[in-house]
Amino acid sequence: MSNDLTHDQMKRIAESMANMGRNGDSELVHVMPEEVALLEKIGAGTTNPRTGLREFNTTQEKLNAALKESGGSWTKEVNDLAKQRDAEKGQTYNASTNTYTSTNSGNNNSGSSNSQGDNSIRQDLANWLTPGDGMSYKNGVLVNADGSKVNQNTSYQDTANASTPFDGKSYVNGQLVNDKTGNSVTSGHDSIFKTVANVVGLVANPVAFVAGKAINNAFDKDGDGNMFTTGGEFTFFDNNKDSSTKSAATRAIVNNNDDNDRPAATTASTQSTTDGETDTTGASNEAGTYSEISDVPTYRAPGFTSRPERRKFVNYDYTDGTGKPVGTYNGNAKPFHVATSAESMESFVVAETASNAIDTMVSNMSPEIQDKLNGEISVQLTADNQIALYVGNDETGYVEAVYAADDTGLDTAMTDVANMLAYGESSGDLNIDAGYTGRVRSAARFTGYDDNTLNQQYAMLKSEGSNYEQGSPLYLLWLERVQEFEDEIKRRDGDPAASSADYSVAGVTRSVAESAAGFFA
Amino acid sequence: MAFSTAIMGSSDVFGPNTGTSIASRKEAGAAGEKIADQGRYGDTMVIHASPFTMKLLTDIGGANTFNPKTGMLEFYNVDDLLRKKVGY
Repeated sequence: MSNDLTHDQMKRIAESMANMGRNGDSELVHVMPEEVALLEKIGAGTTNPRTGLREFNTTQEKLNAALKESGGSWTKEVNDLAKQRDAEKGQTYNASTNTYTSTNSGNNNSGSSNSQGDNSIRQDLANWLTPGDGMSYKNGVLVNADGSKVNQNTSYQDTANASTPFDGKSYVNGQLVNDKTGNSVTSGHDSIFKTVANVVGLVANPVAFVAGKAINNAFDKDGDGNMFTTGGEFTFFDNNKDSSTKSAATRAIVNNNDDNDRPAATTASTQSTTDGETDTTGASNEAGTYSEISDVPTYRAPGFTSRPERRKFVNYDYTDGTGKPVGTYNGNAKPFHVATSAESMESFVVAETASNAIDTMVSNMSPEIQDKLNGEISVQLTADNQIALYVGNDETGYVEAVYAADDTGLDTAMTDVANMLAYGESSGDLNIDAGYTGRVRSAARFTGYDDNTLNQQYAMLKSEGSNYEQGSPLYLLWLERVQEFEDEIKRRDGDPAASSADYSVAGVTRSVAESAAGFFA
Repeated sequence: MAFSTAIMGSSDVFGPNTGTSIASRKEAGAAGEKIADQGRYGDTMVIHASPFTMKLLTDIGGANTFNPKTGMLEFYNVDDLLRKKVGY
């Protein structure tokens, strides 16, 4: 046999050898020695006489194969295998009554591979393989010698816990639970923009580059941990410089349903006086006035708007290089539904309600912050019945994130708006451009990483690259991680690339993908 | 070569009179060795597997991806590998 087989030859040989499998063995597979050791613990390991390779048929599979070979006749071989299978299950068959009787006493399944009543085969295997490690599965739960539960989080789950510390949920023993109640919840961490169904960049003609991909609809249906639905507040910590000097900003999430709640726009700054009165000053040619209302927030934000002229979006193209808008999009280069979204009463009401809510949130920011806030954030109901969040400015373009057109979609869109404003307030990053959503997402992802930690982990990650074969799943995962770190470094360095639509599209897509896939969770 | 001689080389592996000539068995064994060499990320062996076995391998953390060189399914442990290599 030649020492240098081509891949084609290798595949043909593998196929040929796979065909030599018996008793239901249909594949030849690559495995680790540790996995073979586990399979051997089942006790079913035999050697295929034609290939000399190990095989791990269960008795049931052998029985099925024997029945197939006998054409369904109850031969002695079939009968012996049936008895063996029953013995392994801890039961005997009574031919006269046509019933099975258990031979087990209590939970001790002698002869069965399932020695712990509620353990899975995998868990029993783990018990057998590692008898002295101080842990064991009991009734399906991994416990320490003292009976306490063992942390069974995967590396992804630990990472998710570390990167989303304020979302009210944590992975505990491999399960996602509500931090307060300890009850199991059904959806992933509330990473920012995780419920986005699609994200796409809009850039001025004739530039066109990348489109986002729709990956996920992992909506938090039960609302657990959703700070909006509980009427709570979102706190955004920005630790991007030094953990010892981290700042925090809290932005209440507002979703007005009544236009009357909207505070009147004014150009004057307002300060509360110590006696509860409001001293309105700063307006040119206007004397200070007093009001009996002391806590009315004041909206100014001269460089910011939540009510962009929708029709201007038709001057932009979807950033469609090779990717195609999917889902609700019809493939048109133009953001068609934005231009038409003002055509119905419903779309007008949704847009106005959202704008009122955004303005209220902005008005709660300090006057100094409002003065520096630049750009546009708006929420629209599109003609194809989606909730669309637009973030950006005329110079760099816009990013459109799409949510489901229901209460949950609107709530989560407004939650993401609150997150963005909280980020701006805490970080001082108040220039809302096409890269803003990406920067918010990246800052949230790397919360808790000071510059040193970030650089160290980035260097460590880079050095691991040579371990992966280019194009392999692990290589791609590694590359994604590297890009994520590089995007955060760009954000902290003020790199102009972090102001682009594709920066946001990449970041939001990552957020959605992580929530959806859960990686190896 | 990590393929175990206990599995590939000794006569007791093949057992008595298998109906396949010793030459054929040796050739198959050598082929198995070649194929096993193509494993990656800790996969150093090849075995026959039924759908049940493959599910079991997946349940215990096997990758269940395709080896690009042989086209066969592979079950290296993804989580362990990631933990070791990436440091997460």
